[in-house]
Amino acid sequence: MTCHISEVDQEIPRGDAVILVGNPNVGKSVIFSHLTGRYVEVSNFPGTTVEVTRGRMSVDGNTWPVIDTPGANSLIPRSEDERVTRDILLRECPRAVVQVADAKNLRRALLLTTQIVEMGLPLVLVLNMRDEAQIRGIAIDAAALARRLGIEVIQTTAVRGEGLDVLPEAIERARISHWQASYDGIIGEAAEEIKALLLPNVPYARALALMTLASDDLPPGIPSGSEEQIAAIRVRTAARYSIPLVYALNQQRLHCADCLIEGAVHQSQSMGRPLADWIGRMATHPIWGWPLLGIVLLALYEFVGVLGAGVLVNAIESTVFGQWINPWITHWIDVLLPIPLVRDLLVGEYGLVTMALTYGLAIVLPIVTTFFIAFSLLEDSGYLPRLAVMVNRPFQAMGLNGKAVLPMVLGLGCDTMATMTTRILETRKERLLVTLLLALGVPCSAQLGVILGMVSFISPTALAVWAGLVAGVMLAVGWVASKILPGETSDFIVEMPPIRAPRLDNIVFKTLARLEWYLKEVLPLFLLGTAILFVLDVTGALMLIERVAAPLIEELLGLPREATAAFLIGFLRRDYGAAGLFALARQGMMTTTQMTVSLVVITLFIPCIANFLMIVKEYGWKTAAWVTGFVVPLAFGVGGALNAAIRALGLAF
Amino acid sequence: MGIAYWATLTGAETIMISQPLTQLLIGQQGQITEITSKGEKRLASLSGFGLVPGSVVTLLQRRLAYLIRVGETEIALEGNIAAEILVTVMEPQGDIPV
Repeated sequence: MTCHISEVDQEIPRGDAVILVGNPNVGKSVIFSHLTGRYVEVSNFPGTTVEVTRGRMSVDGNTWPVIDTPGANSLIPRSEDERVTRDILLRECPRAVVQVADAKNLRRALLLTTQIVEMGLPLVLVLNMRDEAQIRGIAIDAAALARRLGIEVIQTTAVRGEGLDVLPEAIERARISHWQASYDGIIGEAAEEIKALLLPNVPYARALALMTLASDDLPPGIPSGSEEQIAAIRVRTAARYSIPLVYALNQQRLHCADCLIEGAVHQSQSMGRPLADWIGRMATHPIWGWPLLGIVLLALYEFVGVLGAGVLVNAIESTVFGQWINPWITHWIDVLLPIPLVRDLLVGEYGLVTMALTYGLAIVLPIVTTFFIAFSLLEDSGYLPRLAVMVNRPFQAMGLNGKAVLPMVLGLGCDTMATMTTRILETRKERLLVTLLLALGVPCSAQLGVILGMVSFISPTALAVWAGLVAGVMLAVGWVASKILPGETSDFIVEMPPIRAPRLDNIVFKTLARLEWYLKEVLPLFLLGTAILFVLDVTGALMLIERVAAPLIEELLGLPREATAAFLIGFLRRDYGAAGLFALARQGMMTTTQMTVSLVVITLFIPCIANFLMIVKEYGWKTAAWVTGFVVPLAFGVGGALNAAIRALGLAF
Repeated sequence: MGIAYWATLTGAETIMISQPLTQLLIGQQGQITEITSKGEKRLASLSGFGLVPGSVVTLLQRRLAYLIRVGETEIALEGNIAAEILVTVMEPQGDIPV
């Protein structure tokens, strides 16, 4: 897999890979699934593909690997995902690059095209979202563009599968463009100077030189030892401009892009999308945005809290498990395996079937299913970036900005997934803050569903106390942490995608994919947690722990002793712990005050094991231990304070 | 409301004075003359969205965040960034600021 190019036109041996690149939210993932037949998460929020997805495609009996990259506006990286995309392009020597462009934002796409073309990579340009461009009265002369660029240009509406049939053949024939952005003399000279410092035969020399000129985030492939000379050239060149070099480069590239599309793009009267545009406007409206957010939250509550956690949980837990599965399994175990220990392990108080599977499948599954459906709808509609505008101010108080809303809302689905998604944030400080807040106070969907279910036992006041306290603690911790943690907050510059009607098939696919991920991740932990509890119970260790923890659980928090087990399994998963509390509440073993206190504690409680391991993976053991060591005492402290306050004030819910 | 508003009142459409984007009326278009930001990252982000001198922007909303359209891209940005984008007014029309 060598890749020697000194000049762009030269014939070069290449690897097999086909790489998809493009601006955020232009439909790369849809095209990836179409090419490879593999499902990737597709959404309507810029920056959703944080991990690189790989698949395979076949054309005429050849099979090639296909790589889907995170969205990038430029190959001069400003965030982790843009860096990932740049490095993949530099390292892979691809057979072809497929640039997916948003047809209605061609100029922006071409900014990226100039950079891919500079690398001398064989390219196919896909003008996607043709339907949206047409509605806006934009018609593109693809043939003219193809001629000027010297590559194939295809128009598609990928979500409907339109125009994609010719893509595989186009990839097979992918060519190197003969078009190049031209720069002024200053940049041109500097680029030549840097090129001379690079190793002979280094691929993409000109592109590397320009990247190096534009950013001190050096791309791979720069010979060590030349950094100082390069830095000197940068400083000298930068001094000749009144504006930063990266900006000068982008300006000149956009100018070339304007020349390229001159006469090839025709704008006629936009048909407009009155309803969608109106909804989009309302969603960020300084006044009407709030009632709309209220409606969204209420709908979420009705769908997840009432339907999922109420109706469906009841039906599945009491009917399916309570009346059919559990009695049936108990019966057969009594008949076939009449050994008390085995019987208890499977269907006892801490039985794998009666506890783990019942919680996992009867309580948690209906709740996460409804949440994932609701979240997919929100995501695909384009509402979430607008929510970022609405919450920008309060988030700024926590040292973040509205962009952090995506991982935070996703955390309401699964904190582990969300912790992974913090990579879309631009600074380390923001990533750490969001990770901490997710671990601290964002209840995941299963937990939230259980909490909402429990709140329906208490009262709206209890719900308000719970929500207010958790939000208050998060704001306070965020505010303090943002003062302590070094680093800075990134600029709030966010793209608003068009409001779109979610597509049913996409919602179904996405929900199923997330459920699959969830079940694989969760059920084993449920089983493991129950098995640990079972062992603790059988050996008598559980009683010992309950006794040792008694001052904490019974005196500080004022909870019944049985709640200890719930908190113990809460170490494995917070939702599992919450489900344990829910079961206690439904058996009438807790007062409303106790329920409220226990809800606050379990919400603020330590992240689940999966989340903990994800923090370790992203930030290392030290950070993970630090987060846990901070969160656990805080959860008990806040719970204890609430308990004391309720008792002192004689409040009742 | 600054020069733009005055220009609307007097009908003086040819005034070519740069003013911050923040002073456009809602619905009004301006052509970018200069972006005064110093930060490299900020300028890289803005130009990545196609915001460079010569681009035409429309102001859509100013409260909570400045919402602008450039081409078919809608972008929300903070006030302090919006104030660094200088424009000349293109169409002296617009309705009541939101």
